[in-house]
Amino acid sequence: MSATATHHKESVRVDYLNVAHSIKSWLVTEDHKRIGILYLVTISLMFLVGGIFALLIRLELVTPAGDLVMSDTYNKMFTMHGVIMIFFFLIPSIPAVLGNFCLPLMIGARDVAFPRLNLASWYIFTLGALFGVASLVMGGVDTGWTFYTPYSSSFSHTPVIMAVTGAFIAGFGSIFTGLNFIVTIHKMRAPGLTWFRLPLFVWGHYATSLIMILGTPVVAITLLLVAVERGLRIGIFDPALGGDPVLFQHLFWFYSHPAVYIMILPGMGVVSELIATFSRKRIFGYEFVAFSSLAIAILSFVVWGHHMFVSGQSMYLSMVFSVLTTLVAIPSAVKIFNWAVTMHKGHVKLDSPMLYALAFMGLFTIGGLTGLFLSAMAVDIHLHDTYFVVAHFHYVMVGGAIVAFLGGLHYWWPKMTGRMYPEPWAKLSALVIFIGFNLTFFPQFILGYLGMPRRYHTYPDEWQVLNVLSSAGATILAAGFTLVAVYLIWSLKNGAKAPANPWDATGLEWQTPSPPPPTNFTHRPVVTEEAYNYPIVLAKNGEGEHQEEEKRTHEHA
Amino acid sequence: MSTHETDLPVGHQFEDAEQQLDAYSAGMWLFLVTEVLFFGGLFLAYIIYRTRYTEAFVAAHHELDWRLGGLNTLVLITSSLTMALAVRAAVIDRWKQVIGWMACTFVLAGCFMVVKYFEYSAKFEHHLFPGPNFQFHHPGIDSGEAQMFFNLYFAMTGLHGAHVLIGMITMIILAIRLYVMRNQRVDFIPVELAGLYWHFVDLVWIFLFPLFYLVGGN
Amino acid sequence: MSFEPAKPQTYLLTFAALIVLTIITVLAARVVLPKIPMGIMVLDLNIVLAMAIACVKASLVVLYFMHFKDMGQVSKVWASAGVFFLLVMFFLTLGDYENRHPEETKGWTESGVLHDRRP
Ligand code: HEM
Ligand SMILES: [Cu+2]
Repeated sequence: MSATATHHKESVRVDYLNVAHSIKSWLVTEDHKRIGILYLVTISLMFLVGGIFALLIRLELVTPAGDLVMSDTYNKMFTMHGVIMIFFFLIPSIPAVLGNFCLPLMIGARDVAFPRLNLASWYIFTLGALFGVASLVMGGVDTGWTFYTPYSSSFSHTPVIMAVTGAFIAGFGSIFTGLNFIVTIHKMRAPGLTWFRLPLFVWGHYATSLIMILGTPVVAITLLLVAVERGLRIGIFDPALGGDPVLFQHLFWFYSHPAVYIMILPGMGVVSELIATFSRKRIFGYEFVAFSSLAIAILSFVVWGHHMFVSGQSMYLSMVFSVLTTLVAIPSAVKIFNWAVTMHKGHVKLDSPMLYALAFMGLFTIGGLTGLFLSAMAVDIHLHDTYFVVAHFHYVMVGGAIVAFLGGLHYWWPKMTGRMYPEPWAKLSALVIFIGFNLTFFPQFILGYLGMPRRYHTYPDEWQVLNVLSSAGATILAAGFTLVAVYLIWSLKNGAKAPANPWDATGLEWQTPSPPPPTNFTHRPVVTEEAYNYPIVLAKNGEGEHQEEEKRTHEHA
Repeated sequence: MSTHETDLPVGHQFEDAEQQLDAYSAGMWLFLVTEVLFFGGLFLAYIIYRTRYTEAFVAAHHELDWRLGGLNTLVLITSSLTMALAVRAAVIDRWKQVIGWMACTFVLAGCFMVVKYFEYSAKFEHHLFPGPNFQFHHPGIDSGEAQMFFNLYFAMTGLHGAHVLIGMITMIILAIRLYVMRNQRVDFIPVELAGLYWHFVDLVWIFLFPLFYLVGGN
Repeated sequence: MSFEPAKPQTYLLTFAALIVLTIITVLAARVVLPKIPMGIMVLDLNIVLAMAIACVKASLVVLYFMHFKDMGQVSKVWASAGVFFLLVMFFLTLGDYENRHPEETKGWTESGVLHDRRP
C-alpha cells in the first residue's frame, strides 16, 4: 500500500486510537494494540520508581561512608530496585508491549488467539505491581530480589508476604501472555506464512513464551511457599522447621535463570528486525538465528546451578552446571556473528533504532563474555556476590534488554502512535545512554574484580574513585532516559505524521496504515515470500542501487 | 473435521470454527502444562524430604486413614467418568444430558470435599497441623521430621482441594450458561475445556493418594 | 483436529481399569519391598512401584478421558515438553542431593538444629 493512498483518506480513516476515546474504552479493550499501550504505561511507571531507587543507591555510594541512609534502608533500596525492575518492568517489557502490539500484525492476524485473556493478563500484572508498590509503601522489603530463605521466611521484619504475593500474581500475567503468544503463533498465521517466513521477532517471542510457560509456574509455587512459611509457619525451606534452604534456591533459579532469557530473547528478536531493516538485507543464516532462540530457551533450563556454586550445592553437580552454562554462549554467539555478517556488505543506515541495535551487539557481547568468566567455578568463587556480577547482569539486562527495548520502541513508535519522533534528539539520547551506561557499569567490573561485595552501603576509601565514576555515569544515564521520555511524549502531539512504512521495511506490520485500523488489516494478507526480502543491491553506487532508488521513488509518488 | 462445530459462533479474531476449536484446545493444554510445573515444585520437595526422612514419613502416614483416601480416589475417578460423559453429550448436542452429567460430577466433587473436611478436622483435633501446636509422639521419630510430612500433606492436598473448588465453580457457571443458551446448538468448547481441567485434577490426586496414604513399609 | 465423540464403552472400560489399578496400589502397599540406600538418601521400592502404577493410571486418564490422541500437534508436543522439563528439574536437583558430601549436610538432621531453634 502506498503512503499517498492513505494520505487522501486520512481525515476519515478509523484507526485503533481514534476509534474510541473514553477511559472506559481503554479499560475494557480487547484489542492487542491497545493492551500493548496499557502495558507500556504501567511498565514505564514502574521503571520510573525502580530508577529512582537506582539513583538513590548510586547517591549513597558516592562516598565510602554510609552517610545518606542507614544500612537497613539501603537494604530496602536495592531490594525494591531489583524487585521492581525485574518482576514489574523487564520481564513484561518487550513481550507485553512490543510483542503484544506487533506479533498479531506481523503474522497477519486480526488479534491474538485469546483477546480477553490478554486483557486479563494486563489486569493481573497491574494488580501484582500494585502489591509490589504496597510493599514499598508499607516500608519496603529488605531481602534482595532473590527472596532467599530462611531470611525472607523467618527473619526479615519487612512486608515480604506482600512483595512475594505481588511477584506471584504478576507471574500469572506473564503465563497468560506466553500462552496467548504460543497459540497465536501456531494457529493464527496468515495464509502462506510458513514457519521459515516468520520474522525473527516472532521466533524470539515463541522461545520466550516457552520459558514463560514452563518456568513461571515453578517460581509461582516457590514464592507461594515462602509466603505460607512466613505466614503460617508451614515451612519446607527453613532449617528450623526441618527444611533445606538450598531447595529454595534450586526452585527459585530453575525459573530465574531462564527468566533472564525472558528478558533477553525478545530483545534479540527486536535486534534481528532492526539489523535486517537498516542493512536492507535478509538476516544471514536465518534458520540458525531462528533455532538459536529455541536452543537458548531450552538450554537455559539446565544451567541454573551456576548461581549456587557457593551455596553448599554438591561440588559434582556444580561441575555439571558449569559446563552446561558455557554451552549457552554458543547459540548467543551464533546470533552476534550472524548479525555482524548481515551488516557486512549491507547498506547500513544509522537511523536511531539501528544505533540501539549496534549498542546492543557490543554491550550484550561484553555481558555474555563476562558471564562465561562467571560460569568457570573457580573464578566464580572469587567473583560471586561482588560488583563483577552486578556489572555482568547489568550489561545484559540494561545494555542488552533495555537498549533493545528502546530500539524497538523507536522503530515501531511511528506504527504505534502514527507520529514520527525527532530523529536528531533520538540520536543524541542514544549516544548519551550509551556513554552513561558504560560509565556506570564498566567501573563495576573493576570494583568487583578488586573484591567489592554487592549489597553493602559502605566500602574502603580506595574504591571511591571508581564508585564516583559509576555514580556520575548513572546521572548521565538517567538524563538519557529522561530525554527519550520527553521527546517521545512531545511527539505524540507535535511529531510529523508517520507514513505507513517510514523505514521502507518488509514485514506485514508495515503494510497497514500507521496507526493500524482496529482489526489490523482491511483484507487478510497472503504471504508469498520469505521475511526480509529486500531487493538485492549489486554494487555500491552501481546500477543495482540506482534501480532500487528509482523503484522507491516510484512507490512514493 | 467433524461437522459439529460448523454452527458454533466464531470469535472475530478467528477465520473459522475449526481454527477456534484448535486454538482453545491448544490453549487449555498449555495451561495444564503450567499446572504440571506448578504442582511439580511440591512433588520435588516431597521426593527430597521423603527420601531424607523416610522413617518419620512412614510413621507419620499412619495418622492418615488410607480408607478415606481410597474412597476419595474412587470418588474422583468416578467424577472423571461422569465428566467425560458430559463432554460427550455436549459434542452430540444434548444439553439436558450435559447438565445431568455435570451435576453428577459436581455432587461427587462435593463428596470429595466433605471427606477432606472430615480428614482435615481430625488432623486439627489431634494437633497434627504444623505449627507451634504440632504434637507427634512416636518412639524414635523426630517430631520435626514428622511435621515435614504434614507440611507437605497440607500444602499439596490443600492446593489440590483449591483446584477442586475452582472446578466446582466452573461447573455451576457452565450449567447456567447451557441453560440460558438452551435453544442453540450446545457450545461444547467450554465443556470440553472444563473436562480437560477436571481430568487433570483427578490426575494429580492419582499421584497424591499413594504418596500420602500408602507410604509403605507397614 | 477431529472431534468425533468416543463410544461410552471406551469410557466405561477406562473407568473399570482405573478402579482395578487403585485396588492394586492399595494391595501393593501391604507388601514390604526393600529400601535401597543411594548416596545420602534412601530409595524405597514400595514408592517406585506405587508411582509406576500411578503413571499407568495417569496415562489412561490422559489417553482416554482427555482423548489425547485426538489432540492437535501443538498440544501433544507441549504436553510432552511439560513432562520433560519437569523431569529435568527433578533430576538435576536430585543430582545435588545425591552427591552432596555427607559432611556438607550433616547438620541437617543430626546437629540438633531441628530441636533447638524451633520457637
Ligand atoms: C552467555 C550467557 C550468560 C552466562 C554464561 C551467564 C552466567 C552467569 C553466571 C555464572 C552468574 C552467577 C554469578 C554469581 O552470582 O556468582 C550470572 C549471574 C547473573 N546473570 Fe548471567 N549469564 C549469561 C547471560 C545473562 C543474561 C542474558 C542475563 C539477563 C538478561 C543475565 C542475568 C544475570 C543476573 C540477573 C545474574 C545475577 C543474579 C543475582 O545473583 O542477583 N545473565 N550469570
Ligand atoms: Cu543465570
